[in-house]
Amino acid sequence: MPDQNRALVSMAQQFSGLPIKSLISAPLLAGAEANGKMAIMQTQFLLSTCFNNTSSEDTTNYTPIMINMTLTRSVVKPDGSAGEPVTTRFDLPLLTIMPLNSLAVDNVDVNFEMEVKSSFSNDKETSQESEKAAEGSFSAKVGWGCFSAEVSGSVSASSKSSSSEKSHYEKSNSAKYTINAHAGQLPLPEGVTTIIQAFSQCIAPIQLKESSAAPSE
Amino acid sequence: MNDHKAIDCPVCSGKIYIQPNLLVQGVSFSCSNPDCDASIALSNSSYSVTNNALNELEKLKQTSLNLNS
Repeated sequence: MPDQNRALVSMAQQFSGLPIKSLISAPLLAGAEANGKMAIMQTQFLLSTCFNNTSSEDTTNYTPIMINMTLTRSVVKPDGSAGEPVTTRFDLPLLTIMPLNSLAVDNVDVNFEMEVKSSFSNDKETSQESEKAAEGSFSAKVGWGCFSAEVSGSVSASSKSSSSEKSHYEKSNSAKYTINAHAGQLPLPEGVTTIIQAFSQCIAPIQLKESSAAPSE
Repeated sequence: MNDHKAIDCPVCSGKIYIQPNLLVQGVSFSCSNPDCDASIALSNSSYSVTNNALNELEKLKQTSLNLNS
């Protein structure tokens, strides 16, 4: 006999045990942690690749590594004809030409799907078939002469009954947990941009005065 | 990934847009100011240090992507 009182699965109960906080916060914390590691790596790269450092007792000075560039300008002679191009050399901080962008996890999607199915069905089928057949025949024969008597009879009966009962209980849980994290490029921090701009602006040629050798811009 | 960088033109202070990976291949880049005919290129003496720095940057990007995945 199936348990008729078997209750359907309580949806609230199914969801109440879920660690929703962990499911959502764990990927975000992992993304933040990855961002922190990437920021440290990029800072170390900047300092080790684009700067020379000189350490004294308690201070470390970083000097930008300079690369040498050639600047070529066309020359037009007074008569309008093209002269030999003039090539000038100037130094440029390596930092200014590095295609730096802040790499960071800029998007974290957490998708959680949970499906709880619960169904209960009870099929009861009872069939009863009864078949009774009676057959009888009777014959009697009575004779008075030599006293003969004959009696015959027959009876038949059949009965059939069937009963079936089906019970079906189904419960299924399914869960899907998807995390999509995307790393993209963010604009450089304002401080780094300012440093690069300052370096870039220092590549303007310095004109020396004729009277003194002191440089002036 | 946008690898373009802009530096100020030493002549007119306009913008010179460079691609570092092409710069180390010897390509010169001209000033975006149409009235300025200046162009810049990397000197041979600085090829090595620039190329090494770009390779290190590429490694850093790969490491960052692996860190994310």
